[in-house]
Amino acid sequence: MKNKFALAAVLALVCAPAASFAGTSADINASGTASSFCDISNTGGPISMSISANKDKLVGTGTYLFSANGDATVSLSALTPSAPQGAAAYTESVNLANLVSSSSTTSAVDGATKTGVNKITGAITTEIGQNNASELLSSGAYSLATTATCTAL
Amino acid sequence: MKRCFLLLAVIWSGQVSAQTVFLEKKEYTVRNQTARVKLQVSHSRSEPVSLTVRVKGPTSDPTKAGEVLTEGVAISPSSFKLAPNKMKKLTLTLTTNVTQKTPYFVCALYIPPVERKEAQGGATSGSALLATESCSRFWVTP
Repeated sequence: MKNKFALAAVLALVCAPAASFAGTSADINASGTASSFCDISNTGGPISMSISANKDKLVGTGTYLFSANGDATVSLSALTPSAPQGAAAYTESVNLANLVSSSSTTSAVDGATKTGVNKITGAITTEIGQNNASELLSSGAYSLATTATCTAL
Repeated sequence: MKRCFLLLAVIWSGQVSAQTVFLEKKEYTVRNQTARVKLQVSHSRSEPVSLTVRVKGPTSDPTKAGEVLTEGVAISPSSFKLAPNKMKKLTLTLTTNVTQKTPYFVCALYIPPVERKEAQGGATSGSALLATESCSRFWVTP
């Protein structure tokens, strides 16, 4: 009886490793596709503009973040300004440093294509400046609206 | 030191707040004058925000989007409030009779809340509203 237990124990030891080695190989195939994307955001929040020391323009600053994992373009839609009633002549502009700049109220402006992967932070500068013989900006509340659009190609 | 790096990473990731459009494919085939485009939209702002999804047509330059299409486009829903870092799955149905490979653009638009500031005592002040939009180009083939 003792011999039978001993034999069983030996068999278990010899056979167990063989069983655990069986079927240990596995093929792992993983694949995926990264969609091309771009995004742009005004990270500095609302931009308020205040009058310059020369009293001839309102200037505001903010910050943007642009990122893209492939070729992309950035554009600004036509600027929409508003000014106090009867305000003297003025001009307006929006600049996203190193991306795109516009002073057009009639058409969109495109920046140069950014190639490859990019993550850029930069300054936003908005300006409403006088454009009259007195070189002064009329008093009151002004506003400037536009849409910055990035397009992943 | 490790904690400082983690803190910096959290601060940095918080700055990535734009909305993004992810397309399932770059090219779609028209069947019965209809292309079905699957996409996902997300954003990583700190709170839920309202986004609008819209489609722009082609121009003579394949890298430039044209006008926003108001006909032949069905997106359900096209405007919605989305929590941060959640993916919203959408299907866009585009009715078109293209005869050659044509670029279209699908965009997610975010318009920030207007912060109205009244001029105090005739003071000269101003505010600038910068909406942001992220678009992805896709091709439609007959």
